[in-house]
Formats: sequence, structure tokens, C-alpha cells
Amino acid sequence: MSEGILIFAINSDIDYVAAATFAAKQAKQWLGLPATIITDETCLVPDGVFENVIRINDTTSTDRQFRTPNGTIVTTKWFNESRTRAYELSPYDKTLLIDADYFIYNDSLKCMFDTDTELACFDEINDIAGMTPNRNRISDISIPMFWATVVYFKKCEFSEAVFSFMNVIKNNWEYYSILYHFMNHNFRNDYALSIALQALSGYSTKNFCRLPGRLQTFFSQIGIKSVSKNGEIVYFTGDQINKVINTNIHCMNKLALPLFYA
Amino acid sequence: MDIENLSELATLKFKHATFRKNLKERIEAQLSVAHNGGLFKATPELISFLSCWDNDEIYLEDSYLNPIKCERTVLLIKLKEAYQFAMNAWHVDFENSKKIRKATDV
Repeated sequence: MSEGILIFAINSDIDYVAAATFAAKQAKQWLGLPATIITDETCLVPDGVFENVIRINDTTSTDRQFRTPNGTIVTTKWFNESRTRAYELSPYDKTLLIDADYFIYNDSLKCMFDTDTELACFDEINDIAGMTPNRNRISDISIPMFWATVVYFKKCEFSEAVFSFMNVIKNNWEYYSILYHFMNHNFRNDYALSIALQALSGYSTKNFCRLPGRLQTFFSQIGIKSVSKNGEIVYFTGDQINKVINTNIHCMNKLALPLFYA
Repeated sequence: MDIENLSELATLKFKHATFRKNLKERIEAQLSVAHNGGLFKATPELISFLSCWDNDEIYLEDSYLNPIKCERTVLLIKLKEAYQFAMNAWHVDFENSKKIRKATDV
């Protein structure tokens, strides 16, 4: 059975391909697996990192806003709608789908490839800085949240159904936002995955397979001071400074991404 | 102690607590072991149980609540390795965190 890493990366104001390249290098180092990037026709992809480069025509972007460590709001274009095609585009029998800004610093996800699990993701998030309470529902009165940042899946009927359903949700976004009581004008893969997984697991969240641990996250307002090659990441919030070591992390501070791949 | 020292101590304690919490989060993820299609967590309880069991073939409930047919000795070796590796790493990083004496240290 073929196994590998799959990363979607389409550049906007942010160089997601550079981030994806670093993410792939990290994944290869720690998991020892080949990597595939899915990008558009225009993005330049460096040689020697990805075993496969798949070009798609994704022109649907949304505006995404995030708060920076100094408190300002930054708006960027975000091409995230083709991710629901991960199942059909993945060249692997067993795939670890990761965001371009998810960086692997240990081998804790490697064990998933030796299980019979059909699809798994994180259902809990941890704010590394310890400032934000855990968000565990897609809205206050709706279903539990599953995170699409890292999704392990193998080619099987169930995984195909989940991604197909995510596609249906994407195409009927307004309807599902009303049905599931969330207000979000932009398409969110996390929400689509949450709805699809909950429904296809028998309208239950107990039949679900979670990835080991929790999704370790640097929120956008957390500043990154330095990233060293030995896996030490120094971050700051206000005047407080701290670090994590050898931890897989999701960096939502997009302006800090160059510190990783520079 | 004046208020400035108290404030710095509070910041330092928060820093220690956050660092150690994140360390534990990492270790939790590294305790997972795959065996015969199932996923198991290397806990002292499971290691002790497998060490005490007589037969080499055993059916165990994995992390996904599925019964998995296991080769006891093979799984035990894997669990011990994962446990030892994770705990050693935890201990090393935990000891290093004690060296942080000031809120401005990293």
C-alpha cells in the first residue's frame, strides 16, 4: 500500500508554497514518507522536495482576516475550497493530509499508517500559549468541532463518503450554515468536516477516530521569535516569552511563517 | 517581596506551567503504538497487565474501542519502547525547564 503526505498550497499575499515545502521537509524527516503538493498553474514549486506536483485550477478565494501579535487586523486571500477534493487527488492508498502551515517535529503521527483506521483527525485543540479557552463546537449550540488541519485517511468507502459530503456541504454552504447554526460567510473545511463526520458516523461523535494527542496551535496573535533547527520554537505574547520543543504545531500567525522556512 | 517581584514570580509560574503543559501534550501523543491494525497507548497499567498475562495470544480493546488480536510479547516490547522513549524525553525537557529562573529566560 502506498503511503504519503498531501499538502494543498496556493499562494496569495502569503507564500504558502514555501511553507508547504518546509512542512513537507519536516514530514519527510520525521515520518519518512513521500510528499505531494497540490497547487495551481502559476505557483513555482522547488525541485527535489515533492515526489508529485499536481496542478489544479482553483480560482475561488475568500477574504480571511486574522489578528497579528501587535493587534492589527490583516486581510489576505485564501484559496481553501479545493481541499474537499483531497480524496480524489491523493495518489496514495494511505494519506496524511496536512495544512501548509502544519509543521511536524516528531513521529507521533507515524503510527496511524499501521492501523486499520479509515479516517482520523483531531477533535481537540490546544492553544500553546495557554491564553485561549478550547473551542470544541462549531457554534455554541451546534455539533462538536473536528479540525481539518491534519486528516489521516485511507482509500475506502467511508473516506470517500466524507470528502464527497464535504463537497456537497461546500456547494450548499448557506443552507448548512443555517441548519447547523453557525455564522460564517467564508467556507471552512473544519466545519464541513465536522458536519460530514458527525452525520456519516451515525449522527454520533462517539464512532470517531481521533489522532493521537491534540492539535497544538499557535493562534494568529501569538508572535514567533525564533525557530531553530533542533525543534525549539520561541514564542511571545505581549511581554511574555516561552518555548516549545519537538512539538508538531499549527502556526496560524501567517506573518510568522517565513521564520520557519527562511 | 514588593509588587514587582510578585508580578515577576506570577509570570514565571505561568511560564513554567504553560511549558510543562505543552510538554505533557507532546508526550501524550508520543505514547501511541500501532499493533495488528489497532492503536494502543503505552500506559503503566497496560504494560503491567501484559507482563502478568500468561498466554502469548490476547484480545485487547484499543484506543478506538475495537477488540484487537495481539501477540502479547510483541506488543509488550513496542509499548515498553514507546513508554521509555516518551518518558525519557519528558524527563530531559522537564529538568531543563527548572533552569528557567527568571520570567525573561527562555
